[in-house]
Amino acid sequence: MPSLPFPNLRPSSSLAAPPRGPSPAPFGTTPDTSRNAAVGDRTPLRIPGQAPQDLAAGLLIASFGLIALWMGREWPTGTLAYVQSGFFPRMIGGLMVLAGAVVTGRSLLTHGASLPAWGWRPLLGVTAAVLAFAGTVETLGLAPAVLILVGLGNLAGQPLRPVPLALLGAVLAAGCVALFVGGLGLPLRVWPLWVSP
Amino acid sequence: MDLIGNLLLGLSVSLSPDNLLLCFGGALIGTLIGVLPGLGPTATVAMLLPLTFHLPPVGALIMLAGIFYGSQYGGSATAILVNLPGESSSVVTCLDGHAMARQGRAGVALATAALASLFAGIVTTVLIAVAGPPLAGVALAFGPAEYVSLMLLGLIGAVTLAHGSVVKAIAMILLGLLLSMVGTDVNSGDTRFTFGLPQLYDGIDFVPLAMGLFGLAEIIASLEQTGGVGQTTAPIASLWPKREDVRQAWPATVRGTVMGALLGILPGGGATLGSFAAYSLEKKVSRYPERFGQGAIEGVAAPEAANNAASQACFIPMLSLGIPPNAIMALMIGAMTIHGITPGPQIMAKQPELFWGMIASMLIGNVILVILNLPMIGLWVRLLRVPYGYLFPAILVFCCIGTYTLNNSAFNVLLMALFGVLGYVLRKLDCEPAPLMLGFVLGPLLEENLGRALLLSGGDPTVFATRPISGSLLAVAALLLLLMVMPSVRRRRDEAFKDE
Repeated sequence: MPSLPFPNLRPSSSLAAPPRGPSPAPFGTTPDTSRNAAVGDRTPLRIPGQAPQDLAAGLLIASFGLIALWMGREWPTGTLAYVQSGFFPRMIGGLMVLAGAVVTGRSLLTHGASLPAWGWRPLLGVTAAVLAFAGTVETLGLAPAVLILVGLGNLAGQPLRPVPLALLGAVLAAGCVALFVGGLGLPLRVWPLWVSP
Repeated sequence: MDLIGNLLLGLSVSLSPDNLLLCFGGALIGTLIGVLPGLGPTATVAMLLPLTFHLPPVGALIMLAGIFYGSQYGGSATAILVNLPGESSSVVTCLDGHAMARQGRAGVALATAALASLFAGIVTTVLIAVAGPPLAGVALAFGPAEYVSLMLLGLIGAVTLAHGSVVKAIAMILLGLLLSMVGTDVNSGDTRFTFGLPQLYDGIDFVPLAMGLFGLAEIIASLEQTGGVGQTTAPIASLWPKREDVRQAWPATVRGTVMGALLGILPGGGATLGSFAAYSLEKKVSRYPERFGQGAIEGVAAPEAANNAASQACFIPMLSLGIPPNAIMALMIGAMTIHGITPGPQIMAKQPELFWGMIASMLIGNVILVILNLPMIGLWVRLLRVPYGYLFPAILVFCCIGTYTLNNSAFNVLLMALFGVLGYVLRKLDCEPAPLMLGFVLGPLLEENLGRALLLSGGDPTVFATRPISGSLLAVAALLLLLMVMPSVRRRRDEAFKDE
C-alpha cells in the first residue's frame, strides 16, 4: 500500500541512475548530436519553458487524444443503454486530451526535467535494420534478410570490424535457418526465388 | 485432501518428460536472455513468447513459466554482477548485492538470491494452490459491472506502482486502451482506427507491440547508454554461503517471503513494492542497520525472496479472475489467448490439468532454476563479458524472426519497428510503457463489460456504485487514487521510487 513508511533506501554510493530534475548544464552548451551514442554524452537540450520534458509529454498525449477524437468524429455513440462503436473511443480520447492538458498545464507552472538528448544513431540504426528485414524477408528470403539486418544493425552501436561482422552474420543466418526452418519446420523462404525456387 | 490430489494431478502433468524438458529449456533460455544487461523480465518474456507458439497449450504455459522465472533470476544476476537492475523490482538487490560482489562475494550473493527465491517460490506456490480456487468461486458471482470495477481497480493499482507522474501513467493506460480498439469492433462490425489498412482489420497483434515497446526500445536505450561497449563484471571467488551467512539470511528470507506474498496479491502487482518494503523492514529489525548498503546478506535475501513471492502471488488474480496485475502477467494472458485459453474462473473447472499443471510447474521451475544456476553462474558471468556489439544484432534477429513467424506477416515486423520508436520516445519523456501494455490487454474486456453492464442496467451508470461488490471495488480504487494525490503519501512514494 502506498501508505507504507519507506525510509530513504539509498546508501551514499552505488547505482548510477540517470539524473532526474533540472539539469545543471550551463547556457550556451550545444549538444553534439554526432556523438550521441557515446557514454558521457547526455547533455540535455535547453528549450524555453520550465519543464520541457513534461511539456513534450503532455502535448504528445493530448495530440494522441485529439487524433482519436478526430478519427472517430462520425462513429455512432448510441445511448447509454445501448452503446455503439463510437462511445468508448470518444470517452478514452476525451480523457486523453484531458490528461494531456493537465500534464501540459503543470509543466508550464512548475520546474521539471529538461528534454534529454536523443540517441539518434541507435534509434535510426535499429529502426532501419528492422524495417529492412520487414522489406526483404518475403522477397529475398530469410538468409539474406538476416544478413541485411545484422549489417544495418551493426551501424547502431560501435561498428564491428568486417571479418567479425561477416562471421556473426553468417553464424546467425545459418543458426536461424537451422532452428526455424530445419528444427521448427516453419514455411519460410530461405533464398531468393532466382536461387532456389 | 483435495489440495494434495490436485497438486498430484498437476505434478503428474508437469513431470512428464516432455514438459519437464520444456520447463528446463524455458528456464535456461530465460536466464540466458534475462542476464543480458538492459533486458528485464518483461522484455525477455516478450521476446521469447514466439518460442512457445508451436507447442501444445500446457507445454507452452509450462515453458513460459520457466522463461518467467529464468528471466527474473537473470535480472537479479545482472543487478548483482554489474549493478544494472533489469527491472524496478531488482533495484534494491543492487544495493547490497553489488556491494557483496565488489568484496569478491558475488558467488555467495548469487547463491543466496537463488536459494531465497526458491524458498519464496515454494511457499507462494502452495499459497496459490490454496487461495486460487476459493477466489475463483468468488469470481463466478461476478457480473459485468463487477468486472469493470475490478479492472479499474487493477489499472489504478498499476498507476500507483508506476514511478513518476500519476497523470502520465494514467495517460499511458488510456493510450493502451486506444491501441486495443484498433480493428473491427466485435459488436457492430465497424472498423476503427485502421487507417484503411486491411492488415489492421483484425487489430494490432500483441507480440509486435510488446516486442517493440519493451524489446527494441530497451536495445536502443542500452546502446545509447553504453555506446555498444560491454559491461565490466565483478570477479567471483567463492560460491557457497558460509554457516554465518545462512544464519543471517534465513530469517530475512522468511520475512521477505511473507511481505512479498501479501503485497503481491494486491492488484497492481507488488513485486517492486514488495522488494522495497522487505528491504526497509530488514533495515528496521536489524541490530546493525549501518551494515546495509555495505554488502549485508540480509539485504540480498529479503528483497529477492519478496520479489519472487510477489511476482508469483500475481498469478493468483490472473489465474482466478483473469485480470493481469502487471505487464508480465499481461504478456502471459496474451500468450494464453494465442493458445485459445481464456484465463478466468472457468479455467480451473474446465481445464484442471492445465491449471494444476501450471501450478506444479512453478514448483518444478523454481527447483530447476536453482539446479541450473548454481553450477552455471560462471557461464553467465562470461556471457556478460561478450561485447554488446555481438549480442544485440543476435537479439534483433530473434525479435524480427519471432514477430514475423507469428503470422508470417512482414507487416507485423513493420509495426514492431514503429512501436520500438514509440517506446523509445515514451521512455525519453519519462512515460512508462508498462501501464500501456496493461491497458492494451484489458481494453477489449473493459469495453465489452462496460457496454454489457450498461445494457443490463438499462443505461443507468450508477449500477457500478450500487452493486455491493462493484461498489466496494470502486471505493478501494477511489481511495488509492486519493491517497496518491495526498501530498504526504506522494512524498513517500517519490522517496521509495527515487532509486529508479
